[in-house]
Amino acid sequence: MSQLSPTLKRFAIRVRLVRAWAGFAIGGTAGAVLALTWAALDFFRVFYTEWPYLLLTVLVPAFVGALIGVLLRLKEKDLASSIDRRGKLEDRLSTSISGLDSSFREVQQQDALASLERVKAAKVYPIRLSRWHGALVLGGIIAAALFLMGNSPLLLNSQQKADREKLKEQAAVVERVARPLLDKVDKTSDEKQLANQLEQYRDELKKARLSPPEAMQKANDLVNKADDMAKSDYTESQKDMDSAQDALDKMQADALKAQGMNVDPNLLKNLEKNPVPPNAAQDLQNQIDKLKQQLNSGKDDHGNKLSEAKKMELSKQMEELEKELSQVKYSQKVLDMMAKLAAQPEWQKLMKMLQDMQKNAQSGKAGQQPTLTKEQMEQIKQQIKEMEKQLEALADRLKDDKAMQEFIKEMEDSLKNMQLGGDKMGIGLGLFNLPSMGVPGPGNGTEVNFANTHQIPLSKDPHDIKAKSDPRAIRGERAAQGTETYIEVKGPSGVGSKSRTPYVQVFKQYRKQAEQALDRQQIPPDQQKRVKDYFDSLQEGGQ
Amino acid sequence: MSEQKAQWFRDTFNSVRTEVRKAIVGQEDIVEGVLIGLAANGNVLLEGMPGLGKTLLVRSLSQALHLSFNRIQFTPDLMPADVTGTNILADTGAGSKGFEFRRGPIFANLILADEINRATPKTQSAMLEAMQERSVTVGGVRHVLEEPFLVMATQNPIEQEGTYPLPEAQLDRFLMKLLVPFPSRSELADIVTRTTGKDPSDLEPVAEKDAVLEMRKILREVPVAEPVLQYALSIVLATHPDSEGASDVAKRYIRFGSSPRGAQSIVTIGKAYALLAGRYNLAKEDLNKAVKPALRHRILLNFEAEADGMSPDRILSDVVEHAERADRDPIRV
Repeated sequence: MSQLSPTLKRFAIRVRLVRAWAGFAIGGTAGAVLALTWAALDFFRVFYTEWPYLLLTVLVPAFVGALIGVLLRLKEKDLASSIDRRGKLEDRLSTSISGLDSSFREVQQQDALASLERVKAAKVYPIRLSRWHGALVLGGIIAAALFLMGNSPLLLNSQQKADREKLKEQAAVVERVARPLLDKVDKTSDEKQLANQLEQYRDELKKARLSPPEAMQKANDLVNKADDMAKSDYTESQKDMDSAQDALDKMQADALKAQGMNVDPNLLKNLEKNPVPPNAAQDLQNQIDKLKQQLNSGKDDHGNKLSEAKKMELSKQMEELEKELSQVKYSQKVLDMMAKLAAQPEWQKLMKMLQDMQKNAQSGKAGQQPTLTKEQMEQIKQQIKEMEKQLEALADRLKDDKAMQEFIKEMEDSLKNMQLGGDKMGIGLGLFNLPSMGVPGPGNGTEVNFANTHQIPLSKDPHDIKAKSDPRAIRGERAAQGTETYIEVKGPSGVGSKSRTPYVQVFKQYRKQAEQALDRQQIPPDQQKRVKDYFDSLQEGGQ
Repeated sequence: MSEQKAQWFRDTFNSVRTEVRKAIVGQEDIVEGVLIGLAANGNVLLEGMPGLGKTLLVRSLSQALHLSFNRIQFTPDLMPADVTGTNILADTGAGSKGFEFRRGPIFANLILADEINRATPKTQSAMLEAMQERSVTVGGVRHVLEEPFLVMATQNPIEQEGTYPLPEAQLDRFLMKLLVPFPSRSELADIVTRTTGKDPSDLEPVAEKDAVLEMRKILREVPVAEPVLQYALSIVLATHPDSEGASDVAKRYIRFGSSPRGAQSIVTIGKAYALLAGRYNLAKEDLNKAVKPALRHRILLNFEAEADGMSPDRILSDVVEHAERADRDPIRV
C-alpha cells in the first residue's frame, strides 16, 4: 500500500460511480432492445405485455448493469495510470506506486501526492451522457411508442372502444372458467397445452386487441381443440378399460379352465358386455340346484368323484352365491321390459340360437376343480350387482318397440359373429356366471345375451379420466337484434363424466335441430357460421 | 537531498546553456540537445548546412564547461591514425630512440568530427571504438580517453557527391541526431551583428568536468515506471515493420527498425527532459519528445519512402501516434 492509497480511494469511489452510470446505460440499452422487441411482438399480437413489464424489462437490466459497474474489479495500478492520463500528471502516480528503488523515490512520491491533491475526481471522471444513454432513451421511446400504438385507446373510435370493453369483460369470465385447469398441478401434456392456449386467449381478451369476430373464431377453435382432446382422452380411457376387461376375462377363463372348461376369452368379453336378464336369476338358481344335486351325489356332471374337502368348500361357496342371488331384486320397469322382450318372435328366435350355442359349448367339457378362489367369488358378487344396474339401464333404453327391435337386431348380429368364431365360442354363452359352479347361467330357452350395444361404460370415478376440466358455457352479453356478442368456451366434454350416448347417434338429430334454429333466426346472424362450423367439425371428427 | 540534486542538475544545465547562448544565436533545441548528450554520456550527430555555428557551439560548450576541445575535419584522405594518433620514432633521451605514441585529435573531452561522412569508412570506423568504448587502440596498446568524452559529428545534407554515408553500426553509436535548422531572420540578423562587430568576448566556465560526470549519475537515478518503460518499448517495436505492433506507415516505409540502443536512447534522453521539467520520474511525454532525436538516424527507410518523400521524422510522428493509440486508458468509463 503506497502513500497514495488513501487519496486514491476517493477516485476509486468516483470510478465505481461512473462505471455504475455507464453500466446502467449499457444494461438499460440491452433492456430497451428487449422491450422494443416485446413491444413489437405486442403490436403484432404475438406476445402481449403491459406497461409494468415493459418498464421492468428496461430497468432490471439497467440496475444489473449498474451493479456490475460498481462491483467490477478496480486495480490501484490501473487507477493510478488512468488518473495520470486524465489528470495530466505525467506518470507521477504510476511511478510512485511502482515503489522503484531510487534516490528520487521519496521526493517523487511527495511530488505525486501533491499533484494528486490538485486533481478533482469529478473532473477527471465526469458523469456524462454517453452513446449508451442515448441508445437507452431512444430504445425506450421507440418501445413505448410501439406499445402505445397497439394499446392506446386514443387511437380508437367509440365502437372499437366499446368492443374492447366487452372483450375485457369476457376475459374475466375466461379467467374464472379456466382457473381450475390453470391451477391444476399435475396436468397432462394435452392439458398443459390447452391451459396455455386458454391463458393466451384470456390474455388476448384482456388486451382487447381482437375484433369480436376474431375472438369468436378463436373461441371456436379452442372449443374444437378441447373436444378433440376429449375424444382422444376418451379413446385412451376406453383402451384402459378394455385392457382391464381383458384381464378380467382372462382371470375368469383361467378359473373356468381350472374347472376343466376351455372358454374363449372373446366370448366371455362379449357376454360381459351384456346384462343378464331377470329370468337369468331363475336360471342361476337352477344351476345352483343342479350343483347341489352333484354335491349330494358326490360326483360331477361327468361322473368324477368329488373329495370331501372339495365338497365342503363347494357347499360353502354355493351358500354364499345363493345368498347373493336372493338379494337380486328387479324393478317393475325391468320386469315389464323383460316380459315385453320375451314376447317378441325375433327375441325367441334369438334365444333359440343361444340355446344351440350353449349346447355346443357344454358338450365335450369336463370340470376338474369346482371350487373358486376368494377373489373369484368377489368378482362374481360384483358382477351380480353390475347385472342389476345394467338391467335398469337397459329398461330405460328399451322403452318403445323400435328401440327393442334395434336391440334384438344388434343381439342377433352379435351372436352370428360369435358363431363364426367356432365351437369354442359357444361354450361361454351359459357360463357368464360360472354355471358349472351352480351359478345360474342364461338357462334354457330364455337366455338373454347382449352384445354390441354401443353403450359407453360409465366410469364410477369421474376423475379417472384424463381430461377433467368441467364443460361450461360462458355467456356473453346478449344484444337485441342480431348484433349480440356470445362467446362460448368449454372444456373437454369428457371431463368429469362420460357421455353415455355416442354422439354419432345423436349428431344428426342435434344438427337438424340447430339448422332449424338457424332457419328460425334464433341464432344471431354473425353466429350462424360458427354453429355450422361447429357441426361440420363434429361431423369430421365423427367420421 | 534528492530534490537538491535534481535542482542542482537543472541549475547546472541551465547555467551552461545560458553561457553557451551568449555565443550561439538561436538554435535552442540544438544547444539543449548537445547538453543532454553530454549529460547522458552520448554522442551527437548534427546535420545541417555549413555555417550554422556547429563548431562555435562545441567550442562554446568547451569553454563553458572548461573542457578540452578538438575539431577533426574529415576528408577522403584522412587516415585513422590522423584521428586516433600513431606511434612515432622519437628520441627517448640518452641518445636512444624508440616508438612513442603521439595522441591524435580524438584525445579531448569534446570532439567535433566535422563532415564525418566525407571520410572513408576505414577512417570512420576508427571513431567507433572511441565513441563506444571511450578508448582507442594503437599498435596493440589501448589508450583510454578522458571523461567526459563527447563526439559531436556533423553531416552536410547536401553535396552527397564523394561522401561515404555512415554505416548503420556507426550511426547507432550516436545517442541522438539533431537537425540544425537555418536561423530565422531575427536570429540571422543577430548573428551578423555579433560576428561583424567587435570581437566576441570569451565565455566564462560555469562548471567543471566533474559537474558533467555528476550530472550523468543524477540522470541515471530518475525512476521509470513499468507502464512508461512498456510505452518506450512499444515505440521502438512500432518502428519494426515485421513486428506485431508496427504502425501502418512503418510497415510501408521502414526497411529496418530501431536497434535496442534506440530504446536506451529514448529513455536516457527522456530522463534528462524529465529532470529539466522539474519532475523526478520519466513520463511518456518525455519519451515522445525524445523519439525523433533518438530514433531518426536509427530507422532505415525503403525506396518507397524516398520515392514518396517520407522523412524519418514524419514516419516517427506516426509511430508515436500509433503508440499513443495503443496505450489506452485502463479504466474506460
